[in-house]
Amino acid sequence: MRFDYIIIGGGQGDALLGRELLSKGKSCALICQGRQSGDNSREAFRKAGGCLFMGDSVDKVFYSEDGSRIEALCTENLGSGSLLVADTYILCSGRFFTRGLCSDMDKVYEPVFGADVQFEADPSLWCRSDFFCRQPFEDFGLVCDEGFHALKNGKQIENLIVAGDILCNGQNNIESLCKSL
Amino acid sequence: MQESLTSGFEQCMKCSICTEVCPMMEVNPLYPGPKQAGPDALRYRMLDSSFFDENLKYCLNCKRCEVACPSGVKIADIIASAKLENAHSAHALRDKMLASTDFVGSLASPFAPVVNGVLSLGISKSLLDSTIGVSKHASMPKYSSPKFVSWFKKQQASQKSFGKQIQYFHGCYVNYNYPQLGKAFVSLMNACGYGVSLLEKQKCCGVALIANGQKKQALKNADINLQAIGKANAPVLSTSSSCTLTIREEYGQLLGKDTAPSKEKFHLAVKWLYEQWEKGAVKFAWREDFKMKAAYHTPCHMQKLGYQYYSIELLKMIPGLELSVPEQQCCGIAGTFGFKKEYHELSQKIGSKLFSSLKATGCDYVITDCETCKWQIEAGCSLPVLNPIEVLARALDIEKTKILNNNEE
Ligand code: SF4
Ligand code: SF4
Repeated sequence: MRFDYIIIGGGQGDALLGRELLSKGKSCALICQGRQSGDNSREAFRKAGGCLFMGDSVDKVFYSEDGSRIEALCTENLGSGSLLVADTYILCSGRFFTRGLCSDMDKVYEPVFGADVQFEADPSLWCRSDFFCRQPFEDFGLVCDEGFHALKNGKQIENLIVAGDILCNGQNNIESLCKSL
Repeated sequence: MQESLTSGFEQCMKCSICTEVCPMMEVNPLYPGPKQAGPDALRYRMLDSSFFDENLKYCLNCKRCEVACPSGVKIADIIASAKLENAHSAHALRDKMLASTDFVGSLASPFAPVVNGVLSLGISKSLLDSTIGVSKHASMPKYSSPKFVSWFKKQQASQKSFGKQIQYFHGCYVNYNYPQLGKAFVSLMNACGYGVSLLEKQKCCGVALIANGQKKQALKNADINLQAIGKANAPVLSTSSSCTLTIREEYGQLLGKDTAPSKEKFHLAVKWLYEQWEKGAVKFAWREDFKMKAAYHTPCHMQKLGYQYYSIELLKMIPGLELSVPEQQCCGIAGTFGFKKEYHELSQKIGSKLFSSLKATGCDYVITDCETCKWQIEAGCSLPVLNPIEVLARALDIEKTKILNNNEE
């Protein structure tokens, strides 16, 4: 299937962004790995003609020969024979809870594109023992250039835009929501 | 239980998002819900099967919990697997009858008018209700005569003349209850330039056998179907979302079979067709006089497969079709669940929200990819329900499409 935009995310802001793009006459798909806040926004996105791939995740990415562009994606549900193609891909899959970022014992990584993540190299410094203070890992996230393009091995991916919590030192929505309660 | 299930449950982070979307939890306080029935209780059942809770029988296997789970836990598969290993039914004969779609269909089909007449009589319904436990309020699907396979035999010779071929997995429903869908499929494929043959030796996919705890028979059917698919020398297409989910996914997750051949060759017809169109391998010409106002219902299993946009996008191509797509909801029938006396009311309660939202669209037809959703919606909304393949076949200008696809027999 072909779209102008494919958004990899699915939270409230991502669905609203999708709806905004639809209202500008663009075609748009939202790949949402599981239910997050924003049911109404996702429903509004779907009703406005967006394709909502709920409960699905990106399985495979096809790059141009020089690695500078994404050509297509495959998802787990649709299978390796079915390509989802877009001019622009928007990565806003959030942080650890929504699996935008993952970690193992010694590294933090972005699982879909392997985009460059900024994180503290020494795992012993990821957390502070005071549970309630701001934790260093909360500032880990994707690095990007001034046009919000994702970087991979320091090189720009031309048609991959990063947005939202997945960005390093970005706003931490969980924290701001907790503070606003 | 498959290792993918026993290891995967540890991914659960107890967010309870799955419980929010479970249609059974909404109407039935006895049901423990996906989180409790699935990953939470599995760790106990792994220690001792006596922890099995009989209330798991309420799970519809609709898989809405899995679609919602942000951690990829195969919640419904965990529950279905526990049921398959442990559940006992107080209505063994009824469950066997409802699940043995192949056997019952082959008995009923030759006498279709008589069987349909008898099954619709109040007295027979009361008798079935009080003796074996089939709800007297449920409308039983009608049998058809001749069977699809008997009709197809007469077409077989002409199908061979097509250069390109596909194989059809018709399943029980098309064969015994609704041959017109199979006929529509053949005419659509022929117009697109493909000859049809039937997948040899095919058996019921076994979705109802699995749901009714008949593992042995389900395994037998799975082996036969997977072998037949493995041997097929053309893509094998199905017109049912539930058969597709069962053969592509459940054979592996619940029955421990290697589904690699089915993943490669077995497809839902709408997805395959859309992808051929996208590649330019198939072209459509639409009738100018076709008019229809319809609502598309996404079956829960279709949502789980993630295939609904193939149906929706194909339907959107039809110029004379005014299509609305209301929010996805469960119809409540869950295969044979809604026919059972003790569950009929729950099943209707679950479906009621969907019935109202479909009626609110003001449509004249409902379109859906699942045969059991069709029964439930027809009974609940009094609206005719068609499969997308039937709508495409009706809307297509067959002659012009044949020419476009270079197929003048
Ligand atoms: S949605 Fe998934 S992670 Fe959350 S409680 Fe349910 S099974 Fe666990
Ligand atoms: S499969 Fe459906 S009925 Fe069963 S637990 Fe999941 S959401 Fe509930």
